[in-house]
Amino acid sequence: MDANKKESTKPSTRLRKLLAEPGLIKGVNIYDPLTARIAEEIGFKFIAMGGWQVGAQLCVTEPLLTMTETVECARLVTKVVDIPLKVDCGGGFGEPIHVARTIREVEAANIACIHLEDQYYPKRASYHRGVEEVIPLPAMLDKIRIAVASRRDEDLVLVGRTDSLLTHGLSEAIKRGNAFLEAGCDVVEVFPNTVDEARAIAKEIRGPLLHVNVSGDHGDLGRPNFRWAELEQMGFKICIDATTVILLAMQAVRKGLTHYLNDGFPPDYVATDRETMKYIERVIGLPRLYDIEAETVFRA
Amino acid sequence: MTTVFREMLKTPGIIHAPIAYDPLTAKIAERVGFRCLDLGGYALGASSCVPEPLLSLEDVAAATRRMTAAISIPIMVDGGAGYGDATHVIRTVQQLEHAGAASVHIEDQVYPKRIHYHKGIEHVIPAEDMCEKIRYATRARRDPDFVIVARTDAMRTDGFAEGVRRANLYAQAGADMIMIFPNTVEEARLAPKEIATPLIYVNSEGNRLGRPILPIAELENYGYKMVNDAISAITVMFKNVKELFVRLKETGSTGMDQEVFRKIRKEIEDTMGLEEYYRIEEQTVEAKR
Repeated sequence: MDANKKESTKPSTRLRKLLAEPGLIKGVNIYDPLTARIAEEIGFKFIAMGGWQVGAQLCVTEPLLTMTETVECARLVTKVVDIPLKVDCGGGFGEPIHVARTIREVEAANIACIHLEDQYYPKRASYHRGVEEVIPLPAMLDKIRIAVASRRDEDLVLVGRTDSLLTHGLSEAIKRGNAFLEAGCDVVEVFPNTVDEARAIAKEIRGPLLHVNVSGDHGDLGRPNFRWAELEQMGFKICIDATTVILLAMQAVRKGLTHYLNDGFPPDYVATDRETMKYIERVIGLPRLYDIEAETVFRA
Repeated sequence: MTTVFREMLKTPGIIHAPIAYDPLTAKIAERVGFRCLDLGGYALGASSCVPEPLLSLEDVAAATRRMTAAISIPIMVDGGAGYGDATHVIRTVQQLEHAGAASVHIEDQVYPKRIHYHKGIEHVIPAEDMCEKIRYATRARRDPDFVIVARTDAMRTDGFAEGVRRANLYAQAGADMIMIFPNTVEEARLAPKEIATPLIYVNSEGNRLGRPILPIAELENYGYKMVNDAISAITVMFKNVKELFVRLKETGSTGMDQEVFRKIRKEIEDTMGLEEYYRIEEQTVEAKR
């Protein structure tokens, strides 16, 4: 994959195509343009940006992340990849009027898909410790209906996420999932706590389902992570992964920088890593620019 | 700029701050001789075609950064309802302080804000919740000179007495100044007698609620420390640009004297500092060697 975007269709249209094809859409959450480009180069067909990773990358934390920052981070990604991007729009950044603006900004950033969730806005930090509250279903349906009505890109994929499984139990989550679909959501996102719950969700919710794996999940929740094959077999349509990419990157940064500080020199495996440096240059499109310069300003 | 603003507060006399909404309006105000500015949500919202209740903290912080980069006078920024709970208020103060604001005002309206507020239908949060926000706001500032203003909309929703009670509670919670919205001239006159903290009055011309527009000298006599002029710049911009575009569309011409254009162009160029950049180029890339 070089620096030039080649696809002419909208990313949202391409995601609709993926949704219509059989099989699980195997996505992963990235947190910046480079991790997005690497995912694309490796062969991922779908990527997502979640509040946890973006909140971490900006050192802001997800509950304090604004809509503007979320969309700006996403825009940096959509500018450099062809594959569709899903963006975590949390509680829609407010009430229905704020949802309406969010949809406008999202579409202007060429985002293919968003999720809206039934958590309270403003979001609270304690949500990361599993202390959650959900808004009443009618209030969430208002947000979904306004989101649907605000779409100018009819292909923009709307995911309705409910966190009610943890707060109200399985039957409420199933009820909400189906209500979200009736209100116009294209996909439902639920957080099962057990394999049995995942199976029940897949059986009872009458629409495409998205599952989120979370590496390093908090022990107090202990939610299961599933292999793609299992999800596909259970009937899920999309899988994303909220934390793996940033954990991978930060493991390496932390280890290497600790070595650097103690030793006064970068670790050998980095200092001599010509291959990764070349790889990054290729992934960001430097060779293409060399070609252009050779044809223009450096033409003999 | 925070220290400059603190000094102004200590110096006798009322501070007159017009609302600017972008670097150019801010710079015009500075060059005209204003010593202080206000970045108001209504004007910023209008200039962005995004109603104020939909503006995010980052929208306001970005506008603040662009404006403070252009000017050398203190600016007070409309921090709305602090963009959430206490945790969000902390970030609001830090972001706006970092963006170069000298002061922020935070109001006791509900968050997220509602559009109906523009129709005068308002909801205020309990006074104790607001005091909590103010306490966290004062703790969040890094620069002790950064001025925290508490705004109460309660005079409109719950009457004059409640507004006064809240103003005094907010001052006790640590607010450096209080912004109030008296409903009548009489209330405007009485408020400074009932509230000991430096007060800000907002002249909001064309408001549909009948709130009085008062001369600056009169406000100073009453005992106000600052008067902010809410919407005049954006209103005048709108009127003039619209008239121009109507004329341009109908006649194909601006109908304006070329001499006037030349004069204004020069003024705009001076305002954005073209002369200074000419000088730099003359000393470097355009130097006659």
